[in-house]
Amino acid sequence: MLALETQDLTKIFRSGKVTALDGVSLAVDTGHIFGLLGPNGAGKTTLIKILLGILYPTSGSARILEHPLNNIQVKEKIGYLPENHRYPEFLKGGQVLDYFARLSGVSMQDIQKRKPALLEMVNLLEWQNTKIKKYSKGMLQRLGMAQAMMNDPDILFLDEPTDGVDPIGRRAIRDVLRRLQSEGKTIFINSHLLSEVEMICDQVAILDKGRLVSSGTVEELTSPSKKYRFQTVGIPDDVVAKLKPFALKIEHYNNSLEATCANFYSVNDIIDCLRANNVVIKSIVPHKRTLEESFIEILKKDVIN
Amino acid sequence: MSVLLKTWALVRHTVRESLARKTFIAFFTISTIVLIFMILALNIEAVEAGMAMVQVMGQDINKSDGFDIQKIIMDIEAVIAVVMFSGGIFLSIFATASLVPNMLEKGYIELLVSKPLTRTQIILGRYLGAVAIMGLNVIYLIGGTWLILSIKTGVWYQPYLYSIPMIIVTFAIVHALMVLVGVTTRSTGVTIMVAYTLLFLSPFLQQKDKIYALLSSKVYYYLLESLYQILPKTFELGEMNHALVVGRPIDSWVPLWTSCVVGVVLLSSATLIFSRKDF
Repeated sequence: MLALETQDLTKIFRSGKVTALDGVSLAVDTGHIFGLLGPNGAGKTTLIKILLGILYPTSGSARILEHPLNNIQVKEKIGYLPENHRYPEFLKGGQVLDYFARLSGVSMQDIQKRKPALLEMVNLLEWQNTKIKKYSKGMLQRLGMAQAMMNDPDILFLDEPTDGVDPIGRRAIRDVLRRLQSEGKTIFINSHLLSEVEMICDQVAILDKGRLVSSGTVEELTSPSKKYRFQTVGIPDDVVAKLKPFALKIEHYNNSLEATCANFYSVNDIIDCLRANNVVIKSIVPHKRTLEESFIEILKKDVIN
Repeated sequence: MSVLLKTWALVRHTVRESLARKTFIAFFTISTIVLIFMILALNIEAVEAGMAMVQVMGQDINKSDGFDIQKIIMDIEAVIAVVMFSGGIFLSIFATASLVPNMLEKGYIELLVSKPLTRTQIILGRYLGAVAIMGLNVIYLIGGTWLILSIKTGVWYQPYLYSIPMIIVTFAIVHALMVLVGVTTRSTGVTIMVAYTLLFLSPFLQQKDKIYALLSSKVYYYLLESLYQILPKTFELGEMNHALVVGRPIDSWVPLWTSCVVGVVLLSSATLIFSRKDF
């Protein structure tokens, strides 16, 4: 089942002057943690806002949990943490959860049941009777997470969820999201913190200037490059010279070398050559691109195209 | 049922937000001071069916001096009704002007709109919350003074209570305009200015024929007539409020119902604009 699906979604602002989204089509299966990446102004927040009915699309269509966007009832199954959210400052932490849960149609019994558990989970239980104007940015962000989960949503939209949260808090958020995923929930994360996304998301899409430039699993986007690091016990320079015909590029360090190979046969040729020259190989590690490297590479290609 | 509960949550939140702003707390405190003052200042001793003596602020007033207690009570209540009409609405505009612009602030409106609520529900919840908190204050002061005066004098003068719906309806009409301005401009300042301008213009527009007599061009006639027809007639509603309280017959109910129609149109326009807006 698809958690969400968009078809040629386009949003043009200010009488046609700014195209925030340009024919975006994507699909997210249920039970996944989906990361939407892109530089500032790529259209990430615009896409989330359209999916939640906060913005109206100029053209195209979208469905959430197999319902069209104008279906109000489906929003009872959606949780949302906006970027730079602002709660009424006269409310206490617990009251914020009460208020937004009531607006989501959660019954009083469920509110009483879920509120302490969620406050405990985001480490704010002892702060529930404190007015939120006394909260730090990180605390507000954690409260926002709890707010987004009060209605026990099937799909959770998080716009920069770890913004302003310290490393311990980030880890706690990651744990929460993994637990939600194990319960079959779908999580849609919009973030520019690529390392965070890489750690938690299993599917990603990259937006640039309103267009979807790449999508797939994190593994697909961070597929191993052709680079291999050979850790050895010293390599004489003359042996390094013998390796050059097998590699596209060779970089030599004290006890290691980095070889860019055309294929696996070349890697084996290098191993054979090293062994033939009595070089002791400690390890061979294929170099895996980080999501950040892939992201920058994809954006560079997009600029060239 | 769920729709009603969600709208009720919005109304309750608006009332709570208004109370948090302290203006209505001040309003309530002033009302309480007025009620306490009336309890202490008015001392009436009732003997059998008639009143032997009335003391207002420590001064004896005897029935033999041509004193008509019913008239005094009516006059006191008329003064309170008139003051409450103008002062209450004046204060309430100030206290509620920021409700819609605050709701539209970035980071909050996105959350609200993402919830399973129609945009009409959101606007109505906000609107009804503002009218409810104002109404509660009016009921407290008018109802309280009526009870104190009635219990102390034995004169249960009911027309005074007509001012409760009159003041609430008038504020509801003015607030519809404020919601429209708030949704359009997102500015508390502009909302206050427009609402006070309406209150200021209303007595002039009521005198439109006299003003037109001083002007030369027919254009002014159309301008004044149009403004008179499309704007709520708050001054005439104030006069009607006074007439109802003193038991004077109402010449015409047209200002009331036309103002109500204008209020409905203003609120519908605000809802329509809000429903189409991107946030």
